[in-house]
Amino acid sequence: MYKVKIDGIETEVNPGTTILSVANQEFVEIPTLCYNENVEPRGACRMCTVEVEVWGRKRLVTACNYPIQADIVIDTQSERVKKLRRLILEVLLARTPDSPRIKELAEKYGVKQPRFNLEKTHDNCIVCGLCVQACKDIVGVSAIGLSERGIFRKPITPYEESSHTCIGCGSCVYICPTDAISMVDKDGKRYFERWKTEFKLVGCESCGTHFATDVQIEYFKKVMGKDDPSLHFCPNCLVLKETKK
Amino acid sequence: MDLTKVDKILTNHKNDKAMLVAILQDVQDEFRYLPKEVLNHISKSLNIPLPEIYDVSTFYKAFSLKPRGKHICSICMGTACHVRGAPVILETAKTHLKIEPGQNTPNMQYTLNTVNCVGACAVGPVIQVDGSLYGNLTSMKTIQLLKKFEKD
Amino acid sequence: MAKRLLSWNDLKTLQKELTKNINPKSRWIAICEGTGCRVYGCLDVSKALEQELQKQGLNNVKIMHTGCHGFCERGTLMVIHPEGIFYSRVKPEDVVEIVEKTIKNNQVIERLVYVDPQTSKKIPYEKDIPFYKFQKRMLLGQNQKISPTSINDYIAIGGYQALAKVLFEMTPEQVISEVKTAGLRGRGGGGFAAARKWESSRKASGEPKYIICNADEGDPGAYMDRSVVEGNPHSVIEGMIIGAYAVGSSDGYIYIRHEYPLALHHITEAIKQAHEYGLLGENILGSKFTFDIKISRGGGAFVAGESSALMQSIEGRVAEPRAKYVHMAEHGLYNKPTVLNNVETWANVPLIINMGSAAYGKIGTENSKGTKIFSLVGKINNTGLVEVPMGVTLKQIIYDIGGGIKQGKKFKAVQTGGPSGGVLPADKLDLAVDFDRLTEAGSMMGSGGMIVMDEDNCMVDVAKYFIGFLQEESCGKCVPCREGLKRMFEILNKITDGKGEESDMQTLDDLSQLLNDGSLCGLGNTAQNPVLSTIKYFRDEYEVHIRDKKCPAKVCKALIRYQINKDKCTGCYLCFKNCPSNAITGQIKQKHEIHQDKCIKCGICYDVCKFDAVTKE
Repeated sequence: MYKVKIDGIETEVNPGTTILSVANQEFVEIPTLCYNENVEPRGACRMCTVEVEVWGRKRLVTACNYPIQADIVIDTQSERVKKLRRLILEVLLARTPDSPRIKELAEKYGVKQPRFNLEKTHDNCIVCGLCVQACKDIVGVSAIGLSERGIFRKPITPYEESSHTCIGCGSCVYICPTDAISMVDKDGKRYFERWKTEFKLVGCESCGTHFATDVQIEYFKKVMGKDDPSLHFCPNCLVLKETKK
Repeated sequence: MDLTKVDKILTNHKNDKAMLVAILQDVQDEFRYLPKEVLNHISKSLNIPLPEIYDVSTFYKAFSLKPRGKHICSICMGTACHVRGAPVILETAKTHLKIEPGQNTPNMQYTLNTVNCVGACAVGPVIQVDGSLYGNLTSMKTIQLLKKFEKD
Repeated sequence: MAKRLLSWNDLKTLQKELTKNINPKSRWIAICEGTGCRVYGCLDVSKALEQELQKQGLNNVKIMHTGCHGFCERGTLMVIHPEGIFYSRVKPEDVVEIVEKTIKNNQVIERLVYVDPQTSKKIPYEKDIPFYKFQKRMLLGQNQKISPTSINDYIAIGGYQALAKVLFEMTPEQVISEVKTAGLRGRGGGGFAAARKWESSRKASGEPKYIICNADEGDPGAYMDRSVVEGNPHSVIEGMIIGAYAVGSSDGYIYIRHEYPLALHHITEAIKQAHEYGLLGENILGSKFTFDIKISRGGGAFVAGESSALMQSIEGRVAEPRAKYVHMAEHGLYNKPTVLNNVETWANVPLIINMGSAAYGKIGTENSKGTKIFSLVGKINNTGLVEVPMGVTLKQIIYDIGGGIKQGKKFKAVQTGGPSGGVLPADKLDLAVDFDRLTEAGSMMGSGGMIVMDEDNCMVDVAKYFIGFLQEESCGKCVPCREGLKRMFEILNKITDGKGEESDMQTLDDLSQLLNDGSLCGLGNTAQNPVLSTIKYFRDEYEVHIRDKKCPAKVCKALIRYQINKDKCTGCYLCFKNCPSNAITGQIKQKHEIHQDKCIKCGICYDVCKFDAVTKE
């Protein structure tokens, strides 16, 4: 066990515990964007940077993936940390001036008008990579990937063409921290603008509500190795059926 | 497209996923670019999702997804060349060939590229045409050099 | 097929065999066939010389086709032994005369002799030339004595003896301790103590352990590693084997830049030869030690110089750095203990073993031992590679060795450390060059690029150049580096376009903090250095751009214009004919005019005008 002092609160943790989990445990708020507990932290957005002191040495680290390996003092509110947070939000706000999540964070941390030219692409993507990770590590499909490098880096389908492997599950949409991926269900179809991919929606056998894409149902059948009632009914009707039983 | 050549490259690398960068380099040497069909084939053969191969292919500067011209002209933008006037050389080449870096001339004679240092700093500014280096360039010499390769 | 060497004795016998017939008085010619000299056409000189010697029946004169000698400015270089007569700018048409006069009749040909630009004195012998005289060429010196594709040449000058000594007389711990005592610090960038990495990797659990040589020299303006790999590949291999023995590794990788075809060819050949001799592979020199090296070609990404990114690349992925909260020495390539050093660092290892740590430790300064190779380029008379003991001053390098600034212009600054480094002004010329002094001055050693700039270079432009470079090379993973560099580049462009505002200086300062504090890896953490150091030493130049909308060095295109002085123009048509963008109008024998909207500011008109009628302001 190591001794931890986070913003004055003292506690003890097992080796390897991340700063972010200590913070959550002690109700210390650290802002995050690219962190999601279901995938390995990439440490890409740097929003969760905090100042630590280990063996008498101070440094800045990212809370999401820094494993505690010694007694540590953590400051989530130092002047250096606060300024860095504001600068990160300033460049992000210039990149995605329309993103509600970024606007909200910017306001919270006191960033008003960025000093830079605002991007006019109306793209809310901050290239955190969560969509790609979700598609690969949670869904197991890898229909999308990152491409290019530097300022041109972005998540796409290969050649920016309609994907043959995407199942239209929408996990990328749900995990995206900045609402950068649109998914529109309309007239029995589901369309992902960013992936240029369209699917046929399947209706619940009981109530008729569209609840999944046909490819998604087929994929689940394959993964489960059998047909299953859950693949025929929408979540609501499934619950109802369960209770009736 | 002759995919047996690709299979041979894959066999040379023992169909090892970790050799992806090396495999793509061999493909690029063979075809002068990375054709879509070949990337699809590698994806299936090595069981690597296509987006991951596409990521590697677009991340590294050594790779091109587009066919390239007969002559590849790379203008060195290293620091030593920069302080000796490489930006002017680039501007001259762009104006002369009427293309931007990364593009081919309409007759596919030239591909214009920039490279961040070829390590021939002593003779800068430098241009590399098809692997050979030409040094101590001026705007005039650049145009002469480009004209030389225009016809053959 | 060469005979496998099964013991140290076999190696010693081979060396004796190879040196038996060498007569110190016999005549041989070293021709530099490094990349620089190849641009000057050295291969044609070599061919002509071979033919002429054959024609004259001079079969006993040996030609040594060597790697880079370092004095790249003067290519093609030729040194005629045993006297050590130094000819530069040699052309194929000079060969007949060289054979007739110098080879056959011991006469020196005056017009091929080096003339000191400072004193105008002719210096016929290599050893007397200031460029060489003031260096300490422990590594580069070997380049001039061997053919890089001949393992026998390397063995003849004592190659692989250090390896044998290590294998048969030292324990791995003793090797580490020897390297530690010698004070070897990594030559690739940060200057981390090599032995410390080796030690933690040795102690770490996990098999196999990996040894990596970073030959992906990405620093623009630097080519030290290229010349060592091209000119003396076995020294790198020997260093790696010794390191592997010390660490307990059986697998090595050389990660080499794809832009270096000659280096790739030579290292591939060298590994093959080392195999044939049993210096790589199983039971090296008959010992129980086994080690092999694979080659991995870089894909063209500067960020791959960052250790975790390099390892990702070897594993076949994009070169994205990972968080460095675990040490590479323990969890590196394939998550196994890994030691990564660059070319020059590995090449120093056999030297340390051969000289002994005590002798090695006498070279250099207190905390920076040994020599360092610099690529001395830019606006300097003697461009090339120089190897000096740590601690010599910038002035000694630039003036004594480098021969001062080209065309008698004024020294303005020297840039060291590549994109992670900074510029140093004239009042820092007395700075002793070592790892710590350079960092204190706001620059860094980096891998050893030294780009000299004169009064015609604009410091804002230089900062913009590096930020533009880094913006292109950033992997794009983390927000501070990706977005911060983009914004920094925008602001610098704004300033060089004459649209800068006073507040931009503060914004640059803030962005520097964003990069330094926020970035994930070393590329971003140090990316602000070119901007901060130019602001620190040349703030007034930024201010002139912002306030007066002028570029004092006349570099920034938006702030200069070429014009034709009507009084001087004779209407000779020359500028009109050569203008690549058709920006010049005028009839023959009438005054010409430059149309600013079409002018790309290439300067051709300025260069071709015979009447000084074109002005730049």
